[in-house]
Amino acid sequence: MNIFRREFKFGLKPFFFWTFGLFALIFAGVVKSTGVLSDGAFMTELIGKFPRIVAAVMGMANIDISQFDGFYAILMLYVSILTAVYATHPGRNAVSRESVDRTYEFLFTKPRSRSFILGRKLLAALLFLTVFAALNLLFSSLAVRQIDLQGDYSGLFLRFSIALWFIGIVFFSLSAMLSASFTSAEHGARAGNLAVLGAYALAVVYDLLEHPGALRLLTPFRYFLNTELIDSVVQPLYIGLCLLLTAAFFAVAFYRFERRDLGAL
Amino acid sequence: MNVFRFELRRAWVSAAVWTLVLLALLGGLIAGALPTFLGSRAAVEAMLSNFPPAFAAAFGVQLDNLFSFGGFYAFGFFYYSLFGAIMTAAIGLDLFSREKREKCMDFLLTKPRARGRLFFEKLLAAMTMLLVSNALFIAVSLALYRANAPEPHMMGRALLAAAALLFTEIVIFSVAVFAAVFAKKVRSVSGAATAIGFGGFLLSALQSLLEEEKLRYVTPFKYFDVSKMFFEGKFDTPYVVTAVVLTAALMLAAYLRYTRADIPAL
Repeated sequence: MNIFRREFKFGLKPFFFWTFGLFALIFAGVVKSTGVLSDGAFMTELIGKFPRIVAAVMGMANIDISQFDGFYAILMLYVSILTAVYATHPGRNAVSRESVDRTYEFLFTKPRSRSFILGRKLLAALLFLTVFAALNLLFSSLAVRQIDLQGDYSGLFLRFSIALWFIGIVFFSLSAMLSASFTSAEHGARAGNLAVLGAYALAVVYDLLEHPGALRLLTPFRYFLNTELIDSVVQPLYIGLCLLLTAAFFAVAFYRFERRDLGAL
Repeated sequence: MNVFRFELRRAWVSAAVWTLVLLALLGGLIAGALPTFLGSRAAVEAMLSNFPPAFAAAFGVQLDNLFSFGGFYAFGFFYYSLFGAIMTAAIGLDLFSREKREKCMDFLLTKPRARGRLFFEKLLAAMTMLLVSNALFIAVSLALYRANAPEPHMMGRALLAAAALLFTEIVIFSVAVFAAVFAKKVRSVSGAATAIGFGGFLLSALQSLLEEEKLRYVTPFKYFDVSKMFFEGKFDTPYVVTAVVLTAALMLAAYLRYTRADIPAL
């Protein structure tokens, strides 16, 4: 439990920092949504007349922003980017914090295997990620009370928060794997961050195309489509894919971590 | 000028790669999507004619401005500034936290050079990279403008509109330098740079979505309004003032800290 506790303590500060970002994004967005919704019908029709690229670049493809759930979906697109950027952070730190700080001799001479240590560290990070997704649900539910809105949106919030968690763990495990795979900590971190940027770019391209086809498989940002989440359509394929990818990334991370040269930065 | 040369040599490759990506994005968006964009004008006009004219006017839909090179360029600026900001933040963090990260502060600071001098050489190296990168960006933007916009060309406005990226990057740069100098530890340059870049991007997206004027004061990507420059020939003064004050304050704080801070023993 010592490793878990220490890792938890290390993760607290960045967690609060990112949570503040989440809080600001959701509250500002939801509380101010009424103004956007009143023009929503006009805007939706207007955007519909533009070529797809405009809607895609504005993040408004396939969305009806005259409805609150459509508006919330756009907000969640931004939150999912925030989550992905955050998720790479604990993933990479779990693998390479001690290497970067040059304190690895201290930790890895303890009578525990490397896999055990990494496992505990990742578990602590996973806890943060889970709380982060839960806070999304909480903040959304609190924010929506600030405006008077007909209807019950808790189901919508829950579905989006779960999707957020799945997207989060994919990027989390990916960045852990990349950090474990590169000899240089900075190169691993860079690869993880580029993966987020690349996945986002692919998500925009996905919106851009009339028939994206298999492109959806390549970007976790589109594993859960707004329209499906709003209509509460469950796609077992993509949930399975998330879990499969996460498991595979973790497996590689553990495999590489057991064998890597710790002293190397 | 050893520090200047050293920093330039260490950092120029990634700056060059980012610049190329940025130029590809700019060229790709304009060459690939501008014609389709301009072509959709008829459909939008037809739709607007179903609404009372006052209604359309209230939304500020000015078709002549929207369906032009400038309108589309302003539109893409959302993404150019994301890439530009990540590049700039990476440069700022990399240069100003290098000794901190590699735990060799004492090596650099025991050299017979004042700390202020070291700070300025690093600053100069960073600015050189930013200026070269932006000179290319502006040149390509202007070339695309000449090739795609109908006469009469207003090169002065186009120049300033393209330079909005440089101005935005300078604001982001000062944020990054501030963060690099004040942070106790910088574990990953790219991680922090991505966070800064996407932070600005998300603020900008939120501001566009909500159209809340007050929010614009904390949204660096929106300090320099590209479409306003294209169509009215000026930036919004209050935001430019905000940008200048913010940049100056952050750089001054970073300078004072860099020249005075205690160096921890290792």
